[in-house]
Formats: sequence, structure tokens, C-alpha cells
Amino acid sequence: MTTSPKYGTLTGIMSENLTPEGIQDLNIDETEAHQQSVKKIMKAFDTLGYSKIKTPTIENYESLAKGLGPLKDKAVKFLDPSGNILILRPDHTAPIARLISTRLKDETFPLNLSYADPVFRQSASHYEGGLEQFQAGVEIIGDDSAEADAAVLNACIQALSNISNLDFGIDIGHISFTEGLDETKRQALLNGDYLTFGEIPKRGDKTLVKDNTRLTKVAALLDGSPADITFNLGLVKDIDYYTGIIFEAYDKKTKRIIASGGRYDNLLEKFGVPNPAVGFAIHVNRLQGQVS
Amino acid sequence: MITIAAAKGYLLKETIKLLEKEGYEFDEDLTKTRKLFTTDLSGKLRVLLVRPTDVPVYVEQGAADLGVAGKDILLEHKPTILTLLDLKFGYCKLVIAGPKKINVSELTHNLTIASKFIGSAKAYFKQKGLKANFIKLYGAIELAPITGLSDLICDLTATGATLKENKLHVIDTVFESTAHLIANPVSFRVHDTTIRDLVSKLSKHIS
Repeated sequence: MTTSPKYGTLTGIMSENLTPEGIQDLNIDETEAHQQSVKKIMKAFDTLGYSKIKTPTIENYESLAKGLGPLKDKAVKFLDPSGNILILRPDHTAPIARLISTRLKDETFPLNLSYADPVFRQSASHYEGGLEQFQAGVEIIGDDSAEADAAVLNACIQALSNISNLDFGIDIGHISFTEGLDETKRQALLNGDYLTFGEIPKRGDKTLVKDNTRLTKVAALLDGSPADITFNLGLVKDIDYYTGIIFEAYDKKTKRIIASGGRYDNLLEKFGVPNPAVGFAIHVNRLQGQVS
Repeated sequence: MITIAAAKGYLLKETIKLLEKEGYEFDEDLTKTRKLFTTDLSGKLRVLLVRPTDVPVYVEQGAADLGVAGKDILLEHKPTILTLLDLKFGYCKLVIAGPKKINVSELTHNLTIASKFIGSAKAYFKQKGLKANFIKLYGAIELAPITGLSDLICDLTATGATLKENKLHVIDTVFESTAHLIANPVSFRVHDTTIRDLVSKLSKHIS
């Protein structure tokens, strides 16, 4: 066994006092910047009439697993004293579905909810945001209309517009863009392999989706929005999860996806409370440094 | 300006040739320089000279908008990028090879495979339904079976000359590879027209 070289400390900090890989703490200024971002985002959601909720950090694996899809494998798991598997919340949608199936089941629907809490994902790269990622978002439960799709998109636009010095664009896609494709082409489109797909999917204004009545309606509802919105025939993903509109907001400077969402009408059924749903989350960590 | 990452060596040479056909001019021979980046004379295109395995890393994280990478690297590392064009040059194939001339059907459980492409080698043996052990090496893979480090290798070959010189026989082809033009998914949105335009121009020169 080779002995590691000794470097000598630069900072006088004991090495065992550093945070685990994929985890960061925030100092006073960073905390201030983070709180400001969250405040600006939540203010937009409040103004639009979303009610705040908080789901717990720790959940039963069994209760969430059915709604997690591929995130199931990335969840941080551990055991309680009697051997039940517990996980740290890996996303917000599944815990909210669980909450709706229990303590919110007698509320009047549609229900407009907002949240701002971290999610925990194992083996997420530094680029993706590490193990602990802070998300703020909204969900509209129990409304399958184009108006709800547009409302959620509007919430995304309003919240991101509150962040200073952020130059962002929004791409809108739809799960139906995979319809009628054979398996090879469908996989190619989902993987961004436009070579195998046979062409580079078009991007453009609402005339591009004039055959899609739903997106045409959403586009009409967003008419006059100051945001840079583009329809993208290549934007399809998580095919087992999304059932309608899919959208992503990106930062033109850092080239990162800063928010993503869409419609998932089949999720709540898995929790025994069938209800259409649409929502999105802002990846708040990816906005750090943007606040002035 | 858009930034394109290209792998130093043969792929870079061919990439530059292709770009020059489209009218991009460079004031120095990039294949000989020790500089790691340069900008074309029009100032529209910056070229980064990086290691082949690093091309998708630069593109995935948006440090480069575009990249020229072998399909072998893309299949091994599965980066989240868009694949736009097969540039057709830089042909090679990933093969399973060993000291004995055997058929695929003669492969058995618990063989030890040395490779630079561990992910692809693992996927291959898993698909064949064979339990195998893997040793990651970074070069001169052919030495592994000769020295008893492994039973077989999983390595790239273009002509098969190196394999032959080291008395190794090809047992199977895992996949074939050529250079591909890839893009960062967000860069693709920000520079939509420029990138589409470049793709259609370059595709005219590809036979």
C-alpha cells in the first residue's frame, strides 16, 4: 500500500471537518443569496395564489417507490430500527402525491400547491448539482385543462423573471411527439440521437404545433408573454412519467437547464387518488451567483 | 462565436480539413501547435484541442457548444448530449480478442477481460449471458493476455495490425465507430440557426 503524500494544511481546517462529497454548506453571504432567490421565487408563487406545503425529508421507501420511476435507484436509503427502508426525499412530486392521498384528500380540487425544499440524489455529478439539490416549484392537482398548463408555465416565467441578471429561454415540447414512431426512432428521439432519428427536430413559434390543438391553446394563453418561448419538436423525455406538455427553462449564459416540468396525469392514480396534475421545479442551486 | 472541442490527433486533422472546405481559415497548423485552443480568422469559431475522452465532458457541461467525438467514446460514457451528424472519418471497431482462435460460442464464464472500454465490455458480456471479470487499463492493452494479466482483451482496432503483431485473434466485434458531431442541448437552443446551418454545410462534404 502506497502512503499518501502529506500536503500540509493551507487553511488550518481539520480535514475530517469538511462536508461529504456532493454536499455543500453555505456561508453567511451564500445563505443570504440563496434566501433571496428562494424569497423571490416564492413571492411569485404566492402572488399567483399557490399554497405552500412541506413534505418530510424522510419517507418510507415503500410508499414513494411506486411514483419515483428511475429516481428509485438514486434515492439515499437507510433502515429504521425495525428494518423498514427509509429514503431521503429524492423529488417533490411523489411526496406531494402521497400527501394528497392522505391528509389533503378532503380538500377542494383543483389544488394549487407550492414548495421550496431540498431533494437528495445519489451519484448526481457536481454538474447536476450534487447529492443535495434545492428545488422550488408548484403543482396544480385536479385540473386537466390547457389553462392549468399555461398557468404553471406562467408561474415559471414569473418566478424566473424575479431573479436579477438572468437571461433565460423556455422550450416547450409534448409527449405526443413520440406517437407513431417505431421503437428505434422513439428511443433515438428520447436520447437526443438525431442522427438515428433521421433529422434534427424543428424548433420555432406556435405555427410549428398548429396540428396539436392542446399546445395551440396553451400558446394562445401565453400570447403577449415577454418570455423567450420556443416550441421544440425534439423535447420529449421521461416517457413513463409525462402524459402531456413538457417544458424546460434554460440559462443562456451558463447553458444549464434551470427549471423543468410538465403534465403527469397518471401519477396520483398510483397513490390511490386518480387526479390529473401539472407542475414544475426550479433548480435553485443552479441560479446561485445570479442574484445581484 | 461558438466553441467546438475536437480530439487531438487524427480526428482533429480531419475536422480541420472539413472546416477548411467550408471556408474556415486558421493561421497556424493546429495539428502541430502546442496551443490548446485557437480561433478561426473570421472569429466565429473557437476550436479546443482536448483528449478524446474529454470531448463529451466539455460538451456535456457547456464549456464547448459542439464536439467531434468517436462513437466509441459516446457509447462508453453515455453523455447527455445531442448527436447531430456522422462525419464518417476515424473508422475503428471495438473487438473482443484473445491469443486463441476461437468462436464466440466458445466463450465461457469467468473469463478475465482487460480493456480501456470497461462499460462497453461489461455490457457485451452481460448481453451474452456470461459472467466475466474486468481489469481497467489505460493503454497497451494487447500486453494483458501475453503476460497472463487477462484471458482476453476488449480493444479498438482499425486495421488489426497491432493485434496481429501481438498474436491476438479477433473473436467478435462489439461495435463499429466513426467520428460524430455532438452538441450541448442548451447551446443547441441558444445557437439554433448557426448550428443547423453548420450541420447542413458540413453534411454536403461527407460522402
